[in-house]
Amino acid sequence: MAKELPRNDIPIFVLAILESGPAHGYAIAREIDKRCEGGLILRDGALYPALRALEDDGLIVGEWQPSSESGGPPRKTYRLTDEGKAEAARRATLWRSYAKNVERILGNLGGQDAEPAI
Amino acid sequence: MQNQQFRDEDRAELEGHFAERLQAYVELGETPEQAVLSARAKFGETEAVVRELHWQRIVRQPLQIGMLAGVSWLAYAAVLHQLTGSLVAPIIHERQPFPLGGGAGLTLLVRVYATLAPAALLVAWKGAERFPRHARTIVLGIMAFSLVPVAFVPDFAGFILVPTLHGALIGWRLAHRARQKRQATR
Repeated sequence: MAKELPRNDIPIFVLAILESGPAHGYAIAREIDKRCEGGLILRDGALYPALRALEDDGLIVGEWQPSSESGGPPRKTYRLTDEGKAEAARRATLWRSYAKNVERILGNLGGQDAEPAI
Repeated sequence: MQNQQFRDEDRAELEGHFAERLQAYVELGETPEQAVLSARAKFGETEAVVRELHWQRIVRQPLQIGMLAGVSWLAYAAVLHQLTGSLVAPIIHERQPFPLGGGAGLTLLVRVYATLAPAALLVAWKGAERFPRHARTIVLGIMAFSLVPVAFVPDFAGFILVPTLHGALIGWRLAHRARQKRQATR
């Protein structure tokens, strides 16, 4: 059952995607869709407030790239800063710990075949 | 001017994203009309996102939120100034119903109220859970607004400067704390 991605959770996903390398907004959204295989629904527009917040906090940097040779429009590409890399690792640890604890609390609720809670 | 530039950049980025999403749906075999609907459903309204980014930028700027708070305070103080001038002052100065400095006490209470009410509104708007964290700032502001104009500066300056500066200070503190909290929890 697909669930809309809560806005507060978007920043950690963005950091995780950018850990693999710089990307523009559409590529980030597409990669989130791909990694969760439709299990979570990201409304693309909700990505940008998270990107701006991460930029303001100095965790990512956005740079405009000129038009591609094939005539595509200029795009703003984001990359992690050094602070962002450290912060991504810290948040990932917190999230994994949180997910593990939720699993422990839920136990066998919903049966063995139930989808993971997180 | 800079705000307009930010807005233009936001819009360009969002429209670029939307165009790519649209193209993806077309490549998946949808007709252009279906693709527009699908892309719009997936993306949301561009203008709504532009507006959200604009407000987010304002809220995250300590100077701007301070100015907003200051202007709000100023408007409120102006109303209070009118009220104290036309309602409280005649009671105090002409009827003198409050012995032992009661009139001054009433004026002080009005000033305290004038500071407390907009501060409470501001904090309620930004999040009531942050209120205790700003207790010192707010108490200082109440004291400043309540006492400084009486003792040291003319009422007009007191009504203009003190609430504006105090509003700016609270705005700065709120934005600063919000940023710290966000960094600590995400």
